[in-house]
Amino acid sequence: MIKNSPFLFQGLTKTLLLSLSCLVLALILGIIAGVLQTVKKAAVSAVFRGYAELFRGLPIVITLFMVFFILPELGIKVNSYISAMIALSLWSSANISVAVRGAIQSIPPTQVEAAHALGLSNAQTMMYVVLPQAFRRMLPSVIGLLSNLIQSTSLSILIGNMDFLKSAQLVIERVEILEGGAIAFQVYTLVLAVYFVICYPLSMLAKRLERSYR
Amino acid sequence: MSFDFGYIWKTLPLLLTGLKMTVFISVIGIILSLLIGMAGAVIRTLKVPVLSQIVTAYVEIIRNTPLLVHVFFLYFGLPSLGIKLDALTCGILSLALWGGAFAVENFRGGTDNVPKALIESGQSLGLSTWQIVRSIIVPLGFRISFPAFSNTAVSVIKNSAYLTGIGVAEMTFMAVDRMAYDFKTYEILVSIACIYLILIWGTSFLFSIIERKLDFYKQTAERVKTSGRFDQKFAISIPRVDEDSASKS
Repeated sequence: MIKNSPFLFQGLTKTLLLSLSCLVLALILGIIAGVLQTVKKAAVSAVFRGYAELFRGLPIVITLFMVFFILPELGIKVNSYISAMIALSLWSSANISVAVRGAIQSIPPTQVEAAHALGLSNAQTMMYVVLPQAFRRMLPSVIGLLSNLIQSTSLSILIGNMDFLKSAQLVIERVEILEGGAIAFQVYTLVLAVYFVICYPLSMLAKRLERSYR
Repeated sequence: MSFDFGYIWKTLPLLLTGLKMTVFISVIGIILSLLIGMAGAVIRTLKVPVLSQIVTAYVEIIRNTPLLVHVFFLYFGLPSLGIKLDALTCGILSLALWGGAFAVENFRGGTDNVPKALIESGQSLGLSTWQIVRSIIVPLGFRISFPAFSNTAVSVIKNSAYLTGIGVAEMTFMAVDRMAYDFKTYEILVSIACIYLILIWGTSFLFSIIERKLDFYKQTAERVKTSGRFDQKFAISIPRVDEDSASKS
């Protein structure tokens, strides 16, 4: 297992990279979708609420397969890494958008009125008054979601992405074939431990933030 | 690319056998996680010495590691210790353990908020610990935290699709299997996505009805508002289960 650690480490960096790129994409998409869910035009907010409900309702596995199999049929060539990135971003942006909507709606409307009275436009009110405060309020759930996201990236192996879990499986196979030892239990324990070490601080942080905002 | 409705009609029975498996796995998974969750929450609320720490560790470990790794751990990892389980057992077990860990957190919100005075009055009436658990903590805690648990229960249904990874013949597995034969990816994926949405939104709706039935706080508040008096039945618990503590769960 020690001999194979560079290989496992490669897989781990792939997992972290995937999580990070998904988070960036999902934050951008999620904030846009969340803001648009709160606009006064009923049609617009309904569309984005529908988007959130759809991707929160579908199992991630199904979204993953849909992106991976349907995009090529539409003539867009994507590898498993990119498909996983798209699918997971869709899923987590839907969740982030709901957190954003909740945070925005928790800002007292008097502040918006005050901003309007000062002569700020709608967009300026959003940018300078509502979003900075909303951002702080949605932080706990976004951090909690990041921990979820890191865990969900493991699903990308179902469409053949080479991530941490996959590299662990390959190590197990290699050792069992070449050296004839059964190390599956140890390797999976290691995988569990690594995920735990990454995700536990995140969920602790989320919990602490949540408590401090109460 | 054309959408072949005839093909969907033809494969639907196959997908529905997969759906039956998905529902079977989910129902057992939800029931087991309910039991695990309730037991864990009671243990943590009563602060049973060693057990309570074990439950805490269990919850934290499961919540901070991916479900797919649990599934693989049970299915591929345990055999090297000489414990062999079939795919379905592994699948249900991992789902139940996963849902159970989240359910402990859900129910703890409820059981923690059972008024201490109720437990004390139970003790002063001479009830045993088991009687207090059975007739005070569990029923009240369950009602308060059911909305939180219903989210976990719906997640259990969604996450049953993870079991494709070890070849349990649930709906996603059937669909992917079929795709490998016919290459009708578009048709199959759209139809199982629709089936999943109906299943999941339907279940959420069902749970919201049950929630409304169970939400005796709101019902009683309304009754008090309209009739101006408390029902004798609810008089003890209502003033203490205030809105603040209910929203914390």
